[in-house]
Amino acid sequence: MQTRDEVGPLYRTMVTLGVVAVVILVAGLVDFFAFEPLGQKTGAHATVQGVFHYDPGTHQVSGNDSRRFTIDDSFAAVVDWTSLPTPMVVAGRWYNTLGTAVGGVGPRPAGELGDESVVPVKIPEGFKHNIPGSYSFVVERYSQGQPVEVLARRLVYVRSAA
Amino acid sequence: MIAAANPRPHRPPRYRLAIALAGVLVICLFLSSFVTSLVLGAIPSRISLFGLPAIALVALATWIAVRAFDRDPAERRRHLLRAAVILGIALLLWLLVVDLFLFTGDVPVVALISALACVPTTAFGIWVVRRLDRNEKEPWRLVMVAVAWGAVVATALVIWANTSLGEIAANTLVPGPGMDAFTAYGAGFFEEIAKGLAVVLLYLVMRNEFDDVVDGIVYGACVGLGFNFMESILYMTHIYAIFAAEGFGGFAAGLQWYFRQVVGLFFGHATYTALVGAGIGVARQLPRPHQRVLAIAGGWLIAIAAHFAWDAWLQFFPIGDGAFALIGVHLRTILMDGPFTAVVLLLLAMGLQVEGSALRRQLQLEAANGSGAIAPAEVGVLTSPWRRWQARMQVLTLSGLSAYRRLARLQQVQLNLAMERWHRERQELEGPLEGPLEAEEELRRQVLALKA
Repeated sequence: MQTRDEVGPLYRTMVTLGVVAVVILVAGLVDFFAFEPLGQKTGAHATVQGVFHYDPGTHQVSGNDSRRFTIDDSFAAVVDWTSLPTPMVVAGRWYNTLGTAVGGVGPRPAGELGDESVVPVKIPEGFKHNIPGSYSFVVERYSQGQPVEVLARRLVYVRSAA
Repeated sequence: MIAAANPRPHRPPRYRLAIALAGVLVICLFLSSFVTSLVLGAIPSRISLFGLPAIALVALATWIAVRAFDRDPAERRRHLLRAAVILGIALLLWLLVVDLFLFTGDVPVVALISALACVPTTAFGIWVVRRLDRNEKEPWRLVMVAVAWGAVVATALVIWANTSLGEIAANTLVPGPGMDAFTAYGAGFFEEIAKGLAVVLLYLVMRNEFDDVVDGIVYGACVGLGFNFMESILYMTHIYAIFAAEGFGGFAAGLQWYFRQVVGLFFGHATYTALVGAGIGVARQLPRPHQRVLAIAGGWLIAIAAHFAWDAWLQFFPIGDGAFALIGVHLRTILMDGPFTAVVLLLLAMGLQVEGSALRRQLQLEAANGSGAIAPAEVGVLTSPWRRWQARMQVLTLSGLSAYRRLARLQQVQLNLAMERWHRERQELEGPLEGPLEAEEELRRQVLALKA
């Protein structure tokens, strides 16, 4: 019917857009698996002994393992690198609530990180405090220059006020 | 309100589908509130405490407002007033939700200021989008239902999904682009489903006011503008809370406002949901079920893909340093979301072209049948928005506001008549075909009464 044809181009456009969408979403899957490659499970686990108050002057931690801090607190994760195979290339990283890396060590072989068991959070450049929100500390295994597996993870929360 | 061309004594089957969908949504909202309360702790509990009554109030206000137009005009004002008060209470409750969610703690003032800053820009966006429908503008009550759904219901539907996905990602994935892609899939899928459901419900329940792809784009964009309004408040308040201690919370919130309410007003959510609406609008005029499914799926998929692409690949766009960064962030919006907005504009132009030529044909046929509803000389004026406006302005100058409003009403009813004829010609009327001309006759009577 002639009058039905007037919607035909719109219909074909919508179908074409559906195909384009599938291409974009498949590209997204490729992107995802490029950074989360399959078959990377080693079974290794890093031991994070805790997250403690940290003194930037002495580079020492104190107090009990804690999950809540304020924006004025300095804090650091303590990692037992000996819990990992010596040649395994690893890094410890802090990420703030915006997903920005705010401190870390590595990537280097676990055997070379023995002196860096304390990994503090750094206040971002130009800031006076830590920004409030969720922070995560992750121990990542590296392969071919990119992180491919999380070996340990700790989440802490930083509040606005004391 | 004009009855459909073939009014039936019983509700059409699509009403049952709409009721089932609404029921599933309510169950989802209650289940999600229980889950978030149990799993995620005290803050989500408080969100549920204020959020669910807010959603129920929006639903009630919507129902009363829509029903108000089916009632005696003398009673309409009272019902509309009641709906407005309920909607106002719902919005206040929702502002409380936003504040609680973001732990601003000290005040709802930040959320309130953010909301006040977003009202003029969002209102401008709604005005522009509604005007895009050059031939038969959608009624304000349905436009505002779409906006309210996007702002309150859709945002409530996705909070639990986004929060849960964020928790899953933070506990299982390697931080970085892979995690971003995962959360982008979730945001694209759940947010576009939550927003698109409003357009589906309008398509199912208000078929008389949902004519074609143009209407789908208008309703979809309005849902997106509502969602963007509430998300802007949420992000502005959140960013303020993050940077307040550094002394530039207000500046950071202002930047969020600029990028969401000025640069990104017609990009982002308005574009994504307009794509969903376009698919549903095209499906409105397709004869075969499999074609309708493909058109709707195409619209939904491209909306999800566009949303995903922005969230996942934003970080890869080079924005440069220093002064060039200012240009870079604007270019990023234009180059990443612009192509999808261009597609919406293309679909809109195609839809307006189809609609315009169909209305011209129907107006010519109506003028030729001698009913008197449309004179041959009126066809040229009625098919041109510019000439319609000129005619109204001329009447305003010569005879005043009341004559202007009368002519505006006359033009609208004449175009409604042409639209009704178009749907009959395309056999887009539902149910048995007894008396398909009833609505047309009613519209002709109205035109003749206005001309008299």
